Amino acid sequence: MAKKVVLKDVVKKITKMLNIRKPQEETASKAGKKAKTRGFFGARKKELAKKATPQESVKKIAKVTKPKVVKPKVVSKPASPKPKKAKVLEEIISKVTSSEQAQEERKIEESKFDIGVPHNAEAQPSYDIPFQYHKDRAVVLTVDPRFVFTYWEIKQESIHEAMARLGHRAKLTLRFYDVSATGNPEASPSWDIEVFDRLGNWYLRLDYPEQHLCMDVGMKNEFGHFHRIARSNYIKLPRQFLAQPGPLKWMVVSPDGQKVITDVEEYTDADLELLRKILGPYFFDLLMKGQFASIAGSSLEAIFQEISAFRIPMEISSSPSSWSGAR
Amino acid sequence: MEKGYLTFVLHAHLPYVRHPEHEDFLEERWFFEGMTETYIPLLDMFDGLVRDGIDFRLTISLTPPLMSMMSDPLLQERYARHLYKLLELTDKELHRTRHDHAFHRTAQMYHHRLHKARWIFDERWGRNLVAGFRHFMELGKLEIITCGATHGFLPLLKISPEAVRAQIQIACDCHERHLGRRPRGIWLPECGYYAGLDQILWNAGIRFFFVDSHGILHGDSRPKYGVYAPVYTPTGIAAFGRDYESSKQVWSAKEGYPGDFAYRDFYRDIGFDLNFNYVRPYIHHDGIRLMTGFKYHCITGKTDHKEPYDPWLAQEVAAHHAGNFLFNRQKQSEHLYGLMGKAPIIVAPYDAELYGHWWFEGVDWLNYVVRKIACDQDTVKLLTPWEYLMRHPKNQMLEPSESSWGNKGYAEVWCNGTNDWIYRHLHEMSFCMTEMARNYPNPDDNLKRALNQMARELLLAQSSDWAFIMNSGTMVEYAVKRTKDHIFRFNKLYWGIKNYALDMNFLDECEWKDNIFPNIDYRVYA
Repeated sequence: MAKKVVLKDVVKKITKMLNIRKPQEETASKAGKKAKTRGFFGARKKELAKKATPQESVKKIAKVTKPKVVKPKVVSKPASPKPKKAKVLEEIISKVTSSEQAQEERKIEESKFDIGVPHNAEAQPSYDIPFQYHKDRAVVLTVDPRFVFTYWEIKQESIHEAMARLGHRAKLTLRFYDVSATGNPEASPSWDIEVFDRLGNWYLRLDYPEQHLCMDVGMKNEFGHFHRIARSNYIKLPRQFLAQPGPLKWMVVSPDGQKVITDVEEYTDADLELLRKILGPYFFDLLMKGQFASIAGSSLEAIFQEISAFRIPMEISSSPSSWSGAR
Repeated sequence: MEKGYLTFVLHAHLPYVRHPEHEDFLEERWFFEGMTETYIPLLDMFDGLVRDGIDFRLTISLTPPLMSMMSDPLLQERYARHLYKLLELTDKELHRTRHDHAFHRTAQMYHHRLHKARWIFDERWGRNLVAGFRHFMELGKLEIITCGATHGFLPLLKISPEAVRAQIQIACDCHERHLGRRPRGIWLPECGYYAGLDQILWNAGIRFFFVDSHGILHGDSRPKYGVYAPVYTPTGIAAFGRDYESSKQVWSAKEGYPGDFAYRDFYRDIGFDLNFNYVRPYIHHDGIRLMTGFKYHCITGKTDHKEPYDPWLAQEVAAHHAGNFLFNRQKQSEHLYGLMGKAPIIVAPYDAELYGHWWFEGVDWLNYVVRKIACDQDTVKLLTPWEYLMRHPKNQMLEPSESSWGNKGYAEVWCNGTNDWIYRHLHEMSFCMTEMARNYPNPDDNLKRALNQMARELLLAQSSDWAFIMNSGTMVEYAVKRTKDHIFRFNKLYWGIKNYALDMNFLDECEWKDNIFPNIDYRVYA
């Protein structure tokens, strides 16, 4: 109980200290950031473009309105252990600061396109572009270690052909394969998602980083028979954590491009300790938690439901005994 | 003896914006502002350093679109016209503020800077700033590296390896045309890296590139030295990781140096503050108020009220911040040297436009840092990535993780609900371009022109700036229009060829409007 009281007091203190966001940012001519909702079936992608204001982002992470300004610190040896109260304060500020820093970096990047007007002064007509390309195509793109973006297009004729094989009750279906173990979709666990549009796109939240994935678009009837119309490219999701310990290889590359692997050494605990000292406790902790690159509580995390809610597991005789569930 | 190396990387890029069909086009001001506030001041800084005998090493990526715009006669002429307007305005400002010392000193500063900018642009470099950067490269002070041909975000284009290869190859060709040599290094657009890209880079003669910190830290084996030593991919190309510490000190508008209250405020501009009739000749011809570049207030604090800007105080603060930055790099180097047993390389990359444009005093700060490094100490040494590799050819082998330096560390900035619609079109265009390149290896002149123009339209559509702007919410209509225009032109040329009905007038118009890469060869897509 005492610990909770301390934390609450700390949060209250921070809340009091903080000010409202600079009014001058509102006078700057920026277009309003509208949330764009594009949804078409249950928990499809929703409000992906919804941009949280800095305050909302801050609230999501630490329930405060503004971080305390932290001056750049002198880098020296790793900080000595601090009293518990201060440590909690630092963690909250750090989280808020990291999110705020990402916002500030983005503001600076956007400034080179900011000339004080949110819209082009002249109405600029733009051309119509094709709605479709009359091809059977499926594509999967990596968004981050847990999210992919897919789009597909299926010709009407291909649907008719599939229905002629499967029956008029066949439904348009996306079939995802986790090919991490085998590399072969036909020998890999899979799951299906029914869709309605022969031309569409979807954001998918997956179970774990480094997953190998591909997707088929096809038709499936009430008996579970699936007819593939298009297969996507293969992707591998990025790593989100430090790699497993393994041998370190060293290479020499000459100016003219000749390369030689000179030696291989085992990775030891001393190497991990060295990395911890090099990064410092704060960044090392982020790295070990898989939070180095992205901030927890991103718009993707907040918006999407677990894909397992929509999965229809497929029994494949040669597949591993369990398909890719939550890990 | 030095205990650490510091590599500044300035990534100078603007999307290709050139509208000959309009006398005055709003978005061309991005280029004009970059020229006045960043690129010319940087060249002035380099001149000063060389004149004063200061040894320095900086790495600069000059992207093909930026070099193309800098060397384009139409844009040179338009920039000159814009600059002369600013000179006219600065004379008026001197007169307007003559009785108010607090603002007059700033008006005097603008007067001096703009006249110097005109001299640098018109006379020092003959209106082509690329010549200036080349001059310092040939003196051995700058390592100029390339970028994607039109800054396409490669991880989202990789479904077509030919398209990715073309982005790299055309960029290297453009680099050689402007600077007289092939690039040794590349700044990947948005540091967007994926496994397998290294082979394409190696084949183009690239020997080093950059990734964000987690690209190294999440590599396929654990990096022994974190981001403080480069790693070799299996192909032998070196990857340098961004230092998060030095980044944080500069990038953060609130916590970092640019947020200091004494610095010039970015948003308060006379284009919005002064009488409409007074500023009318210097804003958009439609009468839309916009930034002129004349700003008289400092950040002051988290308040509506802004104090007058004091240029001399700001200079003092910049010098102080430079000292602080160097002090931190010294301590960082000493600490890491003690741990690693060798000098770390601290890679500090920034958008070049941060300096001078967003952070008005940024170029002065950089100037102070370089001078302090050269004259006040010997713990930290400025080095380019190539120089580091020559000194330390043995490095750990590691495949970097797919990553970017965009917000959240991956591809979300360029693939979300605001901009994901573009990819089915960009990918289709890539496949069609490859189809045409393979079907027509030896076309006649007209067909060749059309195929080359298709390649230009594809490249211009692939610019990641459009997706970035759609995501940011400012000037979205222009970014959408640009994307759609290039898609339309590409498709019209494609079907014109397929149907034996090529519209030559339309082709002439496309070549006139979208004239980037005059020597392009579409067969790079084959």
